[in-house]
Amino acid sequence: MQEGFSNRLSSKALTYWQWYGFLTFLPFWLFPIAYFFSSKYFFFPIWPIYVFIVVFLMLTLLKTFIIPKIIWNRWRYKVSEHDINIQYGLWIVKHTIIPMVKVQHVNTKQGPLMKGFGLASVSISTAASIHEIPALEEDVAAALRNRISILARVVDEDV
Amino acid sequence: MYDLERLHPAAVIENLIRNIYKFFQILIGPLVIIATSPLSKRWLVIIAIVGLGAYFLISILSWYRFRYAVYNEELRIEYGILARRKTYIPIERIQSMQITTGIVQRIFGLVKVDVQTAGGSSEAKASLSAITKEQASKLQAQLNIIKHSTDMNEKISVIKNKKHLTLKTLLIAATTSNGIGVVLVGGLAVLSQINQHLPNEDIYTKIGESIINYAGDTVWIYLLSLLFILILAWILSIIGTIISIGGFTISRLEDRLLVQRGLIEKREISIPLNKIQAIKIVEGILRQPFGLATIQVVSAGIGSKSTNDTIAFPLLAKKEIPNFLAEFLPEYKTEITYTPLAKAAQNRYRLILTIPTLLAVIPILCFFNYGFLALLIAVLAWFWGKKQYKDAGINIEEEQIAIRYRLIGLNTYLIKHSKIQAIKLKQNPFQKRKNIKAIEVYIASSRAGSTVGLTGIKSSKGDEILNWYREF
Repeated sequence: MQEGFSNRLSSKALTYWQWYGFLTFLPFWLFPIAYFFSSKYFFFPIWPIYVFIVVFLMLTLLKTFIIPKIIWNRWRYKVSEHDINIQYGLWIVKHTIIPMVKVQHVNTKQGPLMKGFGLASVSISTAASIHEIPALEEDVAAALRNRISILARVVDEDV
Repeated sequence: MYDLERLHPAAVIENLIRNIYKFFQILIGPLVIIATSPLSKRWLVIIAIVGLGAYFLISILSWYRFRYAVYNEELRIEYGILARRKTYIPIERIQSMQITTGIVQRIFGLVKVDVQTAGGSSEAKASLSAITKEQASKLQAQLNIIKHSTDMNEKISVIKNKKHLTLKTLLIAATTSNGIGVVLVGGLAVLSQINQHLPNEDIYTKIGESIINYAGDTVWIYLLSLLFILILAWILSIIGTIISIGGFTISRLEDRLLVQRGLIEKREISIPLNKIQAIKIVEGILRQPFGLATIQVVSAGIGSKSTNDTIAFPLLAKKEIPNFLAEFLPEYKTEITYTPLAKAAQNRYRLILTIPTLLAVIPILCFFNYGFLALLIAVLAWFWGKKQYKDAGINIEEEQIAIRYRLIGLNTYLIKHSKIQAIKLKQNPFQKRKNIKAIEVYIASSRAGSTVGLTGIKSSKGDEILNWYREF
């Protein structure tokens, strides 16, 4: 791990991502279900349904348990008075540096599911890009937003 | 209080002409339907008159409502027919100013002034479509004076360096531009538009049929007509380039660059130096054998429509570039040695081009007699990948990062440390094993930001760049 990456996301974030992964994959189950019913009316063979079920179960497990775990384990961030460091990624590990001078504005966001978990994400905009620290505890997110906003204002500068 | 000024009434005409294309796009469908239907032709005339009349009225109203002033270090604009809008642009946020003299403006002795701020949205710019030259220079002075003290204002209007595009270079630039593709694509777009609005059967099938009837299966007629179309497109692109960059002049003033160009529509863009986000040097594939390059300026305000707007100089011999930069943009350096990519990245560059080409070639291989000739394309892709790998490079020196990469042409970006909005390093597991990384540099540009990226640098180089970025 890179030195200086002290902060992880909230442990609740993992649970949230697992639920998120599970729920967003749920609609895809319509496909094997539709196949099952249409095989009754048309003369589709029944055996592919078992293949579908196995494949979809594996995908569900992947989306629900494995991917969120990897992403959560990888996530690190650090906010100093000079810059914001974030490191994340599932397959490709990405490490981004945003200097405080370049921060144009910062805001927190919260979807309905996030609200249920008491989580919020912080998004940081520069003149060229938007970077997000997802799924922090509400109060941590608010504090981080205020801190970045104050630090960024101290070094106010145009594009 | 402050006095709000109106535009010159010619703005109504300007507005009408600007919107006439849009007008026809909306009305051409109904017009064609009526023209081809057995209905009385009177309706055609009535719809056209009512439509144009409405447009004329709207143009007059919007001209009447549109007023501007400079007050309290802001450019204030009030406009809108139903919803009244007020836009206040703080002067220090202005990224560039463009003065255009189109045909309408020239008839009335007027100019059009576009003021642009960062961000690509239409809200981010103000367009004064027709004001007198006196109003324009007053506006320019107002926008400058606030920024500098008055005695400074004398100094900043002095031209330090100036360079014209010679006729010879203009001709070379026009003949080697890649405008031919634009012309062909544009031509196709227009043809398909026409086809959509014709109610009867496909007109092009008919034309095609009659050509086949005429030519039969003599191959050379088809080849000849294809050649004819290509030459026509090429000539059109030459004319287009000459009109757009004819009379090109760049001047360096104390605190900004002034770029003038255009034969029919004259444009004058002034870019404050501290608003320049990056310099881009493009060596097109047609121009590279002659050792020629184009120099572009990346700015947060300009170039929202065409990349043409950002040209700092259309054509320059490569060996003249250091000299040119020394005269006009001494803050940037090109005489640097690029660190090549890591050896381990070479295969990636070759495979990423070759594998898709091979996959595309396989069907041709199977179904055609001389299909194996298509393999040549895959071989070409292999060597092209190698060339891309060899030409790429990166350099950090003092306050500047330089990134060079090839797609088809060779692109070089020079970016100041202070203009980098963020840096991202990326590494996938394969790259981790090979100890290489990819880098992305974020810069502000007309489209709300863009990235300049390079894959396959050594991990240690990536970390070095990150430290350089962090520590300045």
